[in-house]
Amino acid sequence: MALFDIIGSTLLAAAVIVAILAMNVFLYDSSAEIGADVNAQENMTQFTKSIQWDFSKIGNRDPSRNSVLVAKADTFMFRGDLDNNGSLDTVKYFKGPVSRLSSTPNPRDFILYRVTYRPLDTLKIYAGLTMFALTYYDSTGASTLIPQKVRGFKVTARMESPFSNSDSASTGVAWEDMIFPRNLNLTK
Amino acid sequence: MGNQAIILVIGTLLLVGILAGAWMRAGNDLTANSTQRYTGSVAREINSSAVETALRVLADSLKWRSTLSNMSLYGGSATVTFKDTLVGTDSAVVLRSSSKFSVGSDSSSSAAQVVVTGAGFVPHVVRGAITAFGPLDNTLSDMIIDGRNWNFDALTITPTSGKYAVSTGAAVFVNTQLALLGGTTQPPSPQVDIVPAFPNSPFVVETNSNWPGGWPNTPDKALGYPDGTLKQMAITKALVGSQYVTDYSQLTFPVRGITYLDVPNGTYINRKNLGMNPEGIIVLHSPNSTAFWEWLLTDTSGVTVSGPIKGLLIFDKLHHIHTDILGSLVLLSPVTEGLHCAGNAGHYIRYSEETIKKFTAASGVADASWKSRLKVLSWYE
Repeated sequence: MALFDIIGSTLLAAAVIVAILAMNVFLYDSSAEIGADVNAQENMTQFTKSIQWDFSKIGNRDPSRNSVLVAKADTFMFRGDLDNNGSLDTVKYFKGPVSRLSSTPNPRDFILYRVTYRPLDTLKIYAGLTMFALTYYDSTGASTLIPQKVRGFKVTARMESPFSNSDSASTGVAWEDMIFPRNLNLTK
Repeated sequence: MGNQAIILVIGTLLLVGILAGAWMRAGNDLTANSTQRYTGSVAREINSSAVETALRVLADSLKWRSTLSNMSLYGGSATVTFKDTLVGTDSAVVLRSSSKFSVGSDSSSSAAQVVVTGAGFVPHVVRGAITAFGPLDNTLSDMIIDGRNWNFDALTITPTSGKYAVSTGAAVFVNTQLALLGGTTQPPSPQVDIVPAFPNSPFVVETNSNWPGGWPNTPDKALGYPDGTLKQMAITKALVGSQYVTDYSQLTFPVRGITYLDVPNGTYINRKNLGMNPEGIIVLHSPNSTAFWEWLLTDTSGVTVSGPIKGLLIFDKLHHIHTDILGSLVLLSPVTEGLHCAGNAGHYIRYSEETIKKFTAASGVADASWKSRLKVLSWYE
């Protein structure tokens, strides 16, 4: 009877220990996943804030009213007085290749560059961007790639954890917004 | 065994507690992010609404400078201030708006700075260099009627932005006296400028013109103003040089601002001039739209000859135009003619959006939308 008790107890203890270990792994995974999601969302919040801050000022105090200089899906260059100090700023956003971030576990992330001129300054946005695309629209709502005709655009972006090594985009946060900068739509 | 079981249960509870805590923290962080974005978006919306409200106020009165304090909008608040400024040499107004929106302890604010100046508008009634309810077959004489968009300098043109040469409510138009007609073709045709010529292009003449709400029978209705507005502005000299008279003999020169000849029915003015370089919104009107000016002249008596009349002319009836007009002419009477009047070849009526806007802007009266009354020079938010 005593032997039977010992074997039974051992099996039960082993089962409980396995269950606890499994729970520990689950806890670790889910905490990491939740943390990555929260992190991606916080990064996206900051990213969208800075994008909206920049893009809403396109054309501000630009007498030429031709403030969009380059309008490509992965490159956007524009002019505007971003800090409203009477001096026009020129800003260029463009995507870097995925290979530039091969050091991160995430195979999809890339750097988004934000270059300002006079003084030259380059900001690299590393925050786990896995998609950044622009679609431009003219005054009739038709899509266009002619900079002079651009009156608004759709920004699509996705952020994931740079440490996600999954092949598929299982976690992360997506953002899409239509922006029609006031100063691109003023009466000439 | 009992103690071991208790230890296992407590350990399990601890792990579950840690997991629940992590989830709760993550949930709180996600909620905080969402709330931050929500409050920020609402604060921006409040700010936009406040600026729109302020622009509406400014459109109603370009002289408005009082602060709009703590406007309550969408559960938040906004304040807008107004200040005069100069953009280049042009006067303008700076609107500064700030808004705030809170949810619990989360709060966001937004700010904008908008620079605007007065902008005129072309009244809907103006559809050509000359627009009339009645027929215009003889009124045009052998003048040059040009609906292309001439600039205020009377020398240059803004391409493909003009009007018809002639727009009439009559069913037909016959160019009986060989007037040279030009203009800009209107949508849905592609807008193309046509140089004045005889025979004229059919694309620069509009017949059977259809007026939503009916043809305006007063100068105010023609401009889209409440009845009595122009008269009141002329009386109070709201524009420098304005005058309100009930007889031609009371006119003083030069003609500037709003000149309102409010005359009895059937008044006939013959071979009179408007002085040297007249400009503004010039009205000849009687209660039944039966006032008639025949032979309109400007001052040509001295060494210096008057330039064109610059502005918007709204007359009941006008015939024999022996001068030049830059802007547009609108005739209110359905009985526009019956006479022949050849002999003013070389004189012109040129449509000019810039000229019309210059004077409708100065009138400072609100049209339907602030967008047609104000020109936004920059919008920073």
